[in-house]
Amino acid sequence: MFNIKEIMENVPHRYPFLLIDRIIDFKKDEYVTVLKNISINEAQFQGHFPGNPIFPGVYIIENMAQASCFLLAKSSGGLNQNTVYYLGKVNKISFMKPVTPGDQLVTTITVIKFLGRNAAVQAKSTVDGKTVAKGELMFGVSEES
Amino acid sequence: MNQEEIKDTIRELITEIAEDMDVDEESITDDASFVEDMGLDSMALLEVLATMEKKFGISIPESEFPNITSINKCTDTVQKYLSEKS
Repeated sequence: MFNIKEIMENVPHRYPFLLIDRIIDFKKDEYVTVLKNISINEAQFQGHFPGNPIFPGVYIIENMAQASCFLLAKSSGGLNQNTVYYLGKVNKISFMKPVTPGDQLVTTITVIKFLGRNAAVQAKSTVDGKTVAKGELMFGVSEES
Repeated sequence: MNQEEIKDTIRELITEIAEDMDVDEESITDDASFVEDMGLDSMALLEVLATMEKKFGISIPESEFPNITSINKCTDTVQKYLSEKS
């Protein structure tokens, strides 16, 4: 639906910390589904863990946060240099299954509630249709001059 | 659900959110202002609103936001939307 070029127009993250490869589905102000391919070539697997590569849980949260950033930025017409999207709170995140190299991590973010431009979202990540992590995130938006 | 039960539920969720923000427990009273007395920010207020909607199965429009300022006022707002629902 949206390729990496369009992703980079809507999230400020870059190598080695851009954790979205493709947008699969998107509806303005409502939801986004993003895909990330997990590869053994990623640096974190050198240490997490030697001989037992597991995609870190905090990276799954980061993937959820970047997907939320895309949803909020794209819904308001794209990234603006003065607009900062920040993660305000992470609620009730559960990790159900380990994510390993070769997996395709598919994360869906659904808006629960907007208050002004701040948003509460529901996040769910799956691999092969099975839920690997889920929870809620709170996002703030501020304008820097 | 009567008014006291609604208030108890709201008091519980405000206490939980306030604890996350290191708010002094003594400042949490039914009349205390979320912003001025307890120091909650806009993100915390969003959480209050979203959690109340989920807990009570109601939808509170953004126009009610000026009335989401204390446990007592939240109780009145929730009661209004619960009675509209039934």
